Amino acid sequence: MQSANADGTVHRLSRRGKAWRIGLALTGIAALAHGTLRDSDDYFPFGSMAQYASAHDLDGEVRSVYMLADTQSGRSRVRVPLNATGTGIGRAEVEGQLDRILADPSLLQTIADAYQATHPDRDHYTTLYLMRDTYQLRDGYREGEPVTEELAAWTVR
Amino acid sequence: MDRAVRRIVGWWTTPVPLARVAVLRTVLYLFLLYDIFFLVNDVVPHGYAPELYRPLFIGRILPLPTPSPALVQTLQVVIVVGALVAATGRLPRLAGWTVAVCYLEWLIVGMSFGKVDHDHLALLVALWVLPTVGRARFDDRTPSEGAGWAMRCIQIATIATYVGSAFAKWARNGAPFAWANGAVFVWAIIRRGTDFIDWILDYPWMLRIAQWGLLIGEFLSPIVLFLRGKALVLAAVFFLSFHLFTYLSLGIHFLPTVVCWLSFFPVERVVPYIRHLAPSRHKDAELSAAS
Repeated sequence: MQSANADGTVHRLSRRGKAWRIGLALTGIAALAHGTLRDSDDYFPFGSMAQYASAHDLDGEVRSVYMLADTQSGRSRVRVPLNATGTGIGRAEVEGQLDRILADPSLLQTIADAYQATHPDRDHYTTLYLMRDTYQLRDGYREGEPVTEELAAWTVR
Repeated sequence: MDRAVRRIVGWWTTPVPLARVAVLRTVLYLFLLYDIFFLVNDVVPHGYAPELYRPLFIGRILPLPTPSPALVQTLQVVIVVGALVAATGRLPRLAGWTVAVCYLEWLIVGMSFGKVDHDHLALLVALWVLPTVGRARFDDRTPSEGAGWAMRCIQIATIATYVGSAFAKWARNGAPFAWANGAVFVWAIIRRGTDFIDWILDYPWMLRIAQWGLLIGEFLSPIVLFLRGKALVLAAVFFLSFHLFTYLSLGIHFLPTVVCWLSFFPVERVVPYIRHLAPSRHKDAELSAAS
């Protein structure tokens, strides 16, 4: 796919120019290999490509966390948009910090505050409910209806 | 240098036309604007939730600021201005590296709230290597080893996204193919499946076959670096179809990786077509590329 130009010139790199470029690239590859072997995406941007890397048990449970809220205008248990254009905090981020939030539900206040700050004109939350649906699998098939739990509730200040 | 090293170095710096860098710059820097407003668009709202900031390794060893509305809005402005300048080919190093630094911090803020996405590796590598090429005009077909190195790095980062995720599955589950026999696709579809795919939950064996296909494809992906012509196109179609399918099924698109597939192809060939379509702009383009 190389197209030589009319006069046949090619811009060459010096020996040093090649050495640092390839050294740098190899360092990057080594860093990536390190993050992968350590099985940690904490080393971003050289973390493990860990999205969807966990195999799930064919007879296990599938859990899905979400949030509901009562609002100032009196609506009850509406779905809280856990995404970038809603609260700005994603569902996976809530799940990623679930232990921390359960230990200290006041962190839910932050989500209500962020929602209010980024969408001042919307119907604001008075109470937040952290919910979880659990589906049971049998040999990869869903079995029965999900079990719904309320993990935490927080009265917005 | 012995022969093997010489061959590897030669492969890594195979000259490509400078115009290819020019075209890729325009596409990637413009894509970046789309990315910060529509893809990694949780960064500005993250500035309003500092209590949920959990710095990654890089944020713990470097004195990075805790996200605040002022920080994220400044980053946004600098990235927009820098990317618009760099997309024209002007100030390739100054604008390029400014964007690279700010966008890295942008991603760090995006990923430091409990979830790390891995679809940005190739784009991030592209932003760091493209400035090293320096000036590259749209009409300059001169082959350059520096441009070749940059393209190769973007290609390797694109492929690393796939092969890396195969090795991540191996590392996490203890055996190279253990992942493929699990219920990960069932899990993903129950949690976020669209109407396009929900029906398949009644046929989980089909999902297991798909898991095997994907994992084998990911392990074999480094071959793509050595393919040419039709075989390369077919390989690109395989991986891009996978992304289209996960987008339709789960709303997961991997666009920042998808756009970097362009580094495998002679994109400089579009320049004459675009000039033909917009003859009145011909002079402007030449002017901006030459300035």
